[in-house]
Amino acid sequence: MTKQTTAKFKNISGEKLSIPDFGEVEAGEIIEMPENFNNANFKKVGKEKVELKNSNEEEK
Amino acid sequence: MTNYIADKSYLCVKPQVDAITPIIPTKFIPLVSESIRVNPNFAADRRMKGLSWKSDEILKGSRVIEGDLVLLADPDALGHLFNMVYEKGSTTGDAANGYTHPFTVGEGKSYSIEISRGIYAHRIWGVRGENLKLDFVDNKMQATISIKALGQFYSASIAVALTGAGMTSVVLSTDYDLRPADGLVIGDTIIVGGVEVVLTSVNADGKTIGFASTAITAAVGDPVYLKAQTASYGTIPEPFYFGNTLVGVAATSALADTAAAARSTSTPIYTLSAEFKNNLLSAPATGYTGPAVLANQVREAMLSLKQLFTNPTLFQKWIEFVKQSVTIIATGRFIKTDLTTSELLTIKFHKVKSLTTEEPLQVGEYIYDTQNFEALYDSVDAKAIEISLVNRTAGTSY
Repeated sequence: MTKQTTAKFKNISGEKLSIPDFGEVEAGEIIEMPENFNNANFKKVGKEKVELKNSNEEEK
Repeated sequence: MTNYIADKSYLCVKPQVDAITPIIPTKFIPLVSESIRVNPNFAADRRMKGLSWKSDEILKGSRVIEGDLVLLADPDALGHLFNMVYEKGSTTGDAANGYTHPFTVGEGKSYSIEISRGIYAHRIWGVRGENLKLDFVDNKMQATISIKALGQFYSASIAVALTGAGMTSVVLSTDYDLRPADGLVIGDTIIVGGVEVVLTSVNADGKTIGFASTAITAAVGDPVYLKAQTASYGTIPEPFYFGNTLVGVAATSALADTAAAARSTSTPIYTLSAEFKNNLLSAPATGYTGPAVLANQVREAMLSLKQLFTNPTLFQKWIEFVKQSVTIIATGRFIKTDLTTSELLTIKFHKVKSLTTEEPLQVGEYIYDTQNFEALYDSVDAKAIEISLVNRTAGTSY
């Protein structure tokens, strides 16, 4: 089982951004990403401990 | 072992506030290819030491960080490239009509750029544009910028072991440079002993970096990496196209502008390329392993045109080195919703003279004039070149 903590990140770039394999994020929008998400256009605005399970786990 | 495909890599750029202060890049730009290399100019130690083998060690030479970035020349990316090469004047316009950025021959901005390889980022800072070449590949304008840089951070190693709980800093090995942490910035995520930490300080000693109290156990020599960002892209414009470019060739710049304003008066060109060169001073200096400063020396520019031969006029102008002016106007997509303003690149060569003019004959082919021009300073117009770029990027981004 893969456990991953997530956090909330705000798009502070002032423009809509597209993140590969995730989707589009409007300027100012807050998204939930893995806590180690690293992008200077986003600022961590909160922390919410959520356990993301891997797909194999979900199939069980 | 994990391997990585280059397609997942990114180029990210941002202008620095000055030449020596790195910054975390935020503008991700699609990359065609890159060849930026750190060259410490290592060479075998050839002192006589009683050996019958060539050498038992290598020594450092003067370090050089340079290479090429190849991009498709879209209007937003091209603004950053010109900004590395030339001085941007006051931007006018707005988001609805487009922003107009004039570039003149002056000091360009220094940039921090990041290139990722797998999960690792290579930060190159103090980047200046040495040479910018624009040409067309399969109808698309392509920009190749040759850069030089003052420093870089990619990978270092631990100089003092980390022993477990409560670690708040790490000292980097000085084997590469006495200031190995140069290039790192507060807020960077680095990987130390397999643990990710976010930098809260970069010490003035150039080798100590700090982070919040973290449990890390790592030995001397263990690697320290800069973690790659997750790429994020704004709207990516189309590049300028060959087919949407008009070229005016005339006796004066004003007449060349007029000629380039309409397809009916412009000159059909079959091959077009231009190069803008800064000839940066990058000499080694005391206190630095590489250059202390990257300063402009005399600027120059070249222009190459190929057009269908009609008569020997171009030959005559070449051998009599007659002044010509050339204006290039590349139009991109509309910006204003009523289609009255568009992305626009205008390059004016106020005075060019042909260095070479060739009219080779090939069986079965039309005859062309292929000319290579030196861009000269025009004492009448008091300038050599003039560049204007209209795009969707506000001037504050440059």
